[in-house]
Amino acid sequence: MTINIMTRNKINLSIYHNLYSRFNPLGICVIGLMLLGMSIISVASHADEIDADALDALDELNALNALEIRQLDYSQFALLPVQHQGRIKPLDSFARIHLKIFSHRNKLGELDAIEWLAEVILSPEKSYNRPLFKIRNLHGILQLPPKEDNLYSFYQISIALGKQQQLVEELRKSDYSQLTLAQQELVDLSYNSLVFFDISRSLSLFTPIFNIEDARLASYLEITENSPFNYLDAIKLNNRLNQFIEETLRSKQDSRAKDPSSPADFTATEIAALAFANLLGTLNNDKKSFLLKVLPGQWSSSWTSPWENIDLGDGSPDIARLFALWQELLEDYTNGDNEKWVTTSELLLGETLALYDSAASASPQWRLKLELFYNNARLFLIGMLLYMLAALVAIASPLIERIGKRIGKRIGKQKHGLINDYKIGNLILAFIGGGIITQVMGIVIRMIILNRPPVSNFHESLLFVMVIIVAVGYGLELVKRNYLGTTIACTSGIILSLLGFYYQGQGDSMQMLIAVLNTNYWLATHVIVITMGYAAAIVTSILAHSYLAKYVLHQHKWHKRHKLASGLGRGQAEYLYNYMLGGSLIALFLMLLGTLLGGIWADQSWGRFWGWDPKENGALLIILWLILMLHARITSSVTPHVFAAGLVALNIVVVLSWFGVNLLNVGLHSYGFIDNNALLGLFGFIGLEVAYIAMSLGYGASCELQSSRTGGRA
Amino acid sequence: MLNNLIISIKSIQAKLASPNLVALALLWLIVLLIFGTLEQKFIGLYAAQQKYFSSFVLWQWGFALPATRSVLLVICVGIVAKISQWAAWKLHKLGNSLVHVGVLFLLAGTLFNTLNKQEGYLVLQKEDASPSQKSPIREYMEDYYAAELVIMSGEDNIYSHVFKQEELIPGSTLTTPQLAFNIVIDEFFTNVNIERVTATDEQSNPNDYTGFAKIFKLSDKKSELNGEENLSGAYFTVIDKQTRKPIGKYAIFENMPIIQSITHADLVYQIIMQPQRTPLPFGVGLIDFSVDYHPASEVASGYKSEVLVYDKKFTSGQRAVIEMNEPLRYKDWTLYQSAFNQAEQGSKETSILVAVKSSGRLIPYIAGLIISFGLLLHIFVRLPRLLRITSKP
Repeated sequence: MTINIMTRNKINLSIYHNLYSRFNPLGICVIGLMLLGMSIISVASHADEIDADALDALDELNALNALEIRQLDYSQFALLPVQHQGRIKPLDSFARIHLKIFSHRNKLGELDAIEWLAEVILSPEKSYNRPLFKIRNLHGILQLPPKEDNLYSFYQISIALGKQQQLVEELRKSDYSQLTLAQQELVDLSYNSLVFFDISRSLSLFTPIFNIEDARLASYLEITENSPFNYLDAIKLNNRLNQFIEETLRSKQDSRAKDPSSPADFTATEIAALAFANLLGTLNNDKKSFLLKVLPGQWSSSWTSPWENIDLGDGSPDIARLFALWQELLEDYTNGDNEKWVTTSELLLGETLALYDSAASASPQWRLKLELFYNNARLFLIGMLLYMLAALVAIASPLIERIGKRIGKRIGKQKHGLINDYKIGNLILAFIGGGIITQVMGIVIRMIILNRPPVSNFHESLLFVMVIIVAVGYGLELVKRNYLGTTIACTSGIILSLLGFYYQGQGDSMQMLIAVLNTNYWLATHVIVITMGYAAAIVTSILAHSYLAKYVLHQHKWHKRHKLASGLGRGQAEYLYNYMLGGSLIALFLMLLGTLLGGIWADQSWGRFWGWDPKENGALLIILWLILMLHARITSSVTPHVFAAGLVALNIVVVLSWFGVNLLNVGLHSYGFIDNNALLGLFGFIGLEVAYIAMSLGYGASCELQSSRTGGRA
Repeated sequence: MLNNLIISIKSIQAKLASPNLVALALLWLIVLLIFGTLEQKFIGLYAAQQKYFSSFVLWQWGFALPATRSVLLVICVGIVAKISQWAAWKLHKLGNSLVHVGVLFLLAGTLFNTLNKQEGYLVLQKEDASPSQKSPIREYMEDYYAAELVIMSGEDNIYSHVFKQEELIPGSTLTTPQLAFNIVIDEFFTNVNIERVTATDEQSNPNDYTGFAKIFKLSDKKSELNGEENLSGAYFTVIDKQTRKPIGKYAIFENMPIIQSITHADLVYQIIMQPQRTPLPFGVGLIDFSVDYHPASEVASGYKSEVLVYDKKFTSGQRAVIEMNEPLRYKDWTLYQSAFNQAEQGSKETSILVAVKSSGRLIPYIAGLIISFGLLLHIFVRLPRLLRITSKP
């Protein structure tokens, strides 16, 4: 058949053909849009949390302007070890976790998390006025004026909460899971404000807030007047002070007994003594401050906060040295003396580690440094950006190649072009490979820090599944060079990264494990295999998406090409189909093995192999679906594209099993962290997938009908 | 004639072995699985399991539908039909057939296990903080999902008789030759609601009732989501065997604080309802129970029960430690850490263990091995062929 077309059209067509043949699974657009839609739905309801990164970028720009505010070097301070939630972590992590919990951000204005924490513990009064607590639905109840960033200071919050004390008390007593979102937020807020206050009082025993101006009292207490001192010094004066007050009161009583008309007024000295006693009493309340456990336990693995240490009487010469250093640090911070600040924090770090080393006999410093590196490097974000770059290059590749050809023509390299298909492929592979390396590094660092296998909570399962899928995509691209692997790697890499950021857990993504899960052996076998099974199932499903997209796009010429057995149409369809089939077999194997291992774990731990627990049923659902598909495939009524549609639906099954059962919140496995908003995302995703299947099957069928009619006529 | 029979058998076998049947059964199994899981949210794990998964017939809106066990039976039949064909044992289909054999073994084994399994709770209380004092020894386990009615009399309750839950059907008469009276169950509640009788209550004359039932009334309560928390209860009438006259109408429920007694012919009978008990071939006493926490957090890192196991052979107990993920295996029995109550005012430190006896424990392990190996073999045979067809564009 010859068609007369103008040269210009020819060029255009060649671009189209180019794009068409290379984006072998043209589904890239369809899948991309779908997955994007899903992530938007799941994330939109909480857009502010994902926005945290964007906000951070803005903050960073602002910070450039505010450079002069930063006078102190926090690099050593950030490394100071603190025991929190079951492990020793650098102060930097402690700061990040709490800042995230309070404000849902990674930075507070121009302040880094660690700078913010320094202010909270070293200059609490200043921090009480700094907008910190994020409010979503409580403006009405707490009568707070709406703000753009919806951050409110501790003072504002505590006044507002004080007015609603009764309501808060009532809510705290009731079952949290039965409360409305706003009620839950109120309970959380009241709890968080207590946590914040606790942390802010951690070092109040070092703050020189006592000052005796009265000369008589000073001489009685044998101290110099008008020189401020702190709680630690004040408590030493307690006996003398009590003696003084007792004597005063007794003499008052005596003199009144003798002469009832004697003046009842207190002298200035007496008032000073009472004020001193009062302040001491107030500060005694801070004894409850126990969250900032920076002092290594000397006779046990439990660390203590400074106040706790005093309260327990756990002191020793070593601890006294640490106390002195903390006090010095406080002074340096108040004076804004960077040089001394750095020296003191270095000393403090060294002393604390020395004490910890002697107690734990393991060198923890490199672990702290590693964690600090992990906090700052944002490896998973870098990985995602690399996947995005790869996707961009892939999408723009026809254009890039054309430009390359043009340039090549000009400089005389006509034959292969300056930039050819292969070179672009290499670039894409490099980007994806870089992403994999950074993210694997992130996972390995997490393993080292937490000292356990890579998958032990929902967040980690997202990361692990992502890396596996991307690696499979990379391998496929390396072998076939037809953008199929790129499609798989980029779409799932980007989407799962986004979900990973969203499900970082409330502040802390590196929490300790509950007793049942606290066994590295089973975590390393059952959980890993199951998670790999999820990954294999998702890869299979993406292949099915591509197959179906291809089926629809080619439908018109499908039969003809099949009969002709000419390269493009049939060959590609066939290998996609075979890959899909192979993938489903591998997914079935992994899911089966993982589930059997899980059954063995359950048998070992709870005395039953199978208990119809929702998570178990979820895994079984994937298995049954795969078996169903594999059996349906060999029945006469199921054509290849219906088989593909079934494997597209595998995505739904996986998502239901992986995310969905956590929403049910029953049974032994309901440890995964999921909030109610995820339900919206889940349904959105299922809706999109169902629509995709329905549309492609419907369109395909109508085309088929048409072609069979025309075929009949012919 | 014989030929015809063989042919017809072969055609039936072919139909049973066809993937159509299995696909249909699987589809229904998936439906059951989804609805059974969803309903756990509303009726609890145990109840949903009984309704969907541990039964042959599922009753829904008055319809009898095939439940999981029936479906599994159909699948088993299909598998048997398939693997009994010669074609299934050709070399390239070996992996595939092994998988099917493994699944058959797994399903049959699981059925065998559920029929033979003995399971129950051991509630161990720590008597006192002082180690010298012996904790009470438990020689039986309790089933929280079933109740039993016990009648005792005589010195130290020398005479006692137990009626299991399956006998406690409304209208049924409980009797033994030793008793001078019969007990007729009037009503039985799987989960009971206890209320004080009010003056305005239309519940008839309190004189019709005896003991506790004069003041309190029982009514049916929706089953708890956590089936173990259900409290069974019943109304029953005691009837004299000779005169056939009612002696009294009683109310009773599990672990009632006030024990109900029947006085008849100068004898006092005590009657109680309790979780169904099964004797164990050994006794267990609690030495200590402890919870470990991750430092500086409220997350428990482990639970540990220190127990003494008494056997008929031993005069003194054998010390053993039961931890989360590390059960105690003793003879055919396995004891697992399940739950605990920490000592508070008025309650003693309690550790709750699960005792399981299962002679077919190894079946799932072996079946799993066969299935995994078969599938791996199948993949090794199929995959190269699948990956070979590549068309370079």
